[in-house]
Amino acid sequence: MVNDSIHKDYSKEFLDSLLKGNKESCSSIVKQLVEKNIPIPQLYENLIKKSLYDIGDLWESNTISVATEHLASAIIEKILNETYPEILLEQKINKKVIVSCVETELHQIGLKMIADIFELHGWDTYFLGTSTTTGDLIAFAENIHPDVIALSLTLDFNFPLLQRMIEEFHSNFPNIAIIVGGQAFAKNNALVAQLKHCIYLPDIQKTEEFISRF
Amino acid sequence: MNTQNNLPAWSAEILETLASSNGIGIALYSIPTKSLSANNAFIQLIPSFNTTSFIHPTFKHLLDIKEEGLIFSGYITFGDNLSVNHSLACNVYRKNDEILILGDNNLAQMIAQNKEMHALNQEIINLQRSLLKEKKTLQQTLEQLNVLNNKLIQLNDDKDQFVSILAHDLRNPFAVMLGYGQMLNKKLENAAFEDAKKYAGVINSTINKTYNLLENLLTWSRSQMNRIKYKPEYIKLKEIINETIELFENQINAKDIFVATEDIKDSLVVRGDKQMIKTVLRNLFSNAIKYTPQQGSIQFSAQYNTSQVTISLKDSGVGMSPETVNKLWNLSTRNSEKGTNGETGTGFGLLICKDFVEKHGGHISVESKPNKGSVFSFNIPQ
Ligand code: B12
Repeated sequence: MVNDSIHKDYSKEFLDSLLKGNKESCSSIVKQLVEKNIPIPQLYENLIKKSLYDIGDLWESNTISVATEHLASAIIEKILNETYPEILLEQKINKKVIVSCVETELHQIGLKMIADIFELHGWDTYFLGTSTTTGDLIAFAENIHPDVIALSLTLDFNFPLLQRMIEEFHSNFPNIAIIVGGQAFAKNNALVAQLKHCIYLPDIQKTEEFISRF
Repeated sequence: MNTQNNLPAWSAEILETLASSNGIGIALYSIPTKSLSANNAFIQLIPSFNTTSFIHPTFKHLLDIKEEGLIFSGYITFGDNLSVNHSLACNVYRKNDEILILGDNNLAQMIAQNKEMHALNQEIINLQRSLLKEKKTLQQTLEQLNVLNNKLIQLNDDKDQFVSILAHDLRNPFAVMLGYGQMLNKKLENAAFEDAKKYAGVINSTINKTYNLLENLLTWSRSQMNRIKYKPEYIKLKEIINETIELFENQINAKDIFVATEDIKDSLVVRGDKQMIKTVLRNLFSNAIKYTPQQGSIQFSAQYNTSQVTISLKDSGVGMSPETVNKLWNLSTRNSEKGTNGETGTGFGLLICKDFVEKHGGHISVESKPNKGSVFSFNIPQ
């Protein structure tokens, strides 16, 4: 993305602060970038997502504990709240999206970003977060009448759950568009190939393209 | 302190303590995966001792390192893939087909992270509280706005109705003037000057009434828009009552009405806006004359105490039914019945009276029965 260089100065400091649990420093970096008019999608992709991926790598190399990962994600979610008002400023366009994780999935930050992107484009966004059952999702959709359902999957072994969710949802609401995304698909084209009744979108940019076409 | 040199002498005690430790995890496995023993801390972490609880690195991964000695050093995450897990900073040793896992809870880190989590939690709880409060305030504001909005809708309806009533009120006199104007023209063409004079008289009096109506309307609307400022002063009540009576001398004489004012002392002084009180008296008095038959009577009276003065006009006129009384003060329902000599009006006068009395912080009311006359009273706080 265009503004990668801008973030380079910040991303190391941001990651260090996250690892130390220094939420004030993280907040202030994001605030500075917002003041520099860095667009939210870039902030999300190039600073926040990148740092979380780095944290994942550190966990994978057994360098940090899950507790550190927990604290980092708690700080990130707090920061997403702080930038939330920037997103809410836009005008509404009378379209609705329900965003949800697959049941038993605890990774919700990516999905939250996607929800924010819809919101940024004027959609009414209903964020169900983690631990949503298919029954809950269908009941909610009956109430809300959404235009789009967005489902996130991070852990690949949860794929069968996602498939069942999509299948059941689609048979109830054949006309509602379903989009899916998340890390389970990132390095796994075989999973993408098995997807039915839905569109896979890998990141914010592709999601924005989808929104503008919708 | 070089603990390593001194400790061997205490190894029995140290082992005893470690065996029951809740902080340092110790587990011994024989290869391939047979568990031999584990201390308290480790059993709490992996209750079933199950090697599938090694999430990262997996147990298999550790087994695959075939060297002897320290085979792994770093965080091991234990738990399962469906829930929130826990990591220990571990050293893993392999010796004689056995694997020893020594896991340490990084206390300093735990304390620091716990503190941060606590701070975050507190921040979020405080935020939640202030949001709840804001939500409540917003709800209340919304409710107030709804009430106001409904009032505005009502007011707007009133105004619409008012405009249509007003148009109707103006249409009548214009119809009269149009008709008589045409006839006047004809009479003048035929040089019938006597008739012409009569018609001109009707037109003139209709113009007068219409002008009065417009004048009243203007006063009322200026008062509604708060263009008329309340300017209180000390007023001799009897004086302005007498002035009012003088204004209507012709009508009083025409109907031979008896007007009584003895009840009001010459010395009675009230505090209020002179122009407004005069307007109220003029309107009430003109109404009383209008609805009082030949040789009837109208009586002014006043009751005074330190907190208020109450001024009343009692007439021996036609009176009103309760339904008519109910309609008197309302913009959209106000109507005007013809006087005993066919006098017309628009019922605006009373609206103005009500407005002006209320500007004084007072209240206007009426008691009336058909054929028993009416008493209009208004009080003005002193
Ligand atoms: C934070 C984190 C956690 C937190 C989550 C907290 C939270 N509130 O979300 C906690 C501590 C709970 C957690 C737990 C676990 N985690 Co974890 N976690 C992470 C970490 C570090 C960051 C995740 C994240 O937020 N990324 C940033 C977001 C923005 O990226 P994203 O999700 O990819 O989203 C982008 C796109 O994918 C896309 N997208 C995502 N969703 C959707 C949906 C739609 C509709 C669309 C259109 C697009 C889209 O848009 C986003 C923007 O580009 C990752 C590391 C990593 N590489 O991501 C590991 C990681 C995901 N976790 C992992 C693992 C293994 C676990 C655990 C099993 C073990 C553990 N660590 O304890 C548990 C499982 C718990 C469970 N049942 O879910 C592995 C997953 C490996 C795998 N392939 O299965 C990772 C990759 C770490 C690693 N390197 O191994 N984890």
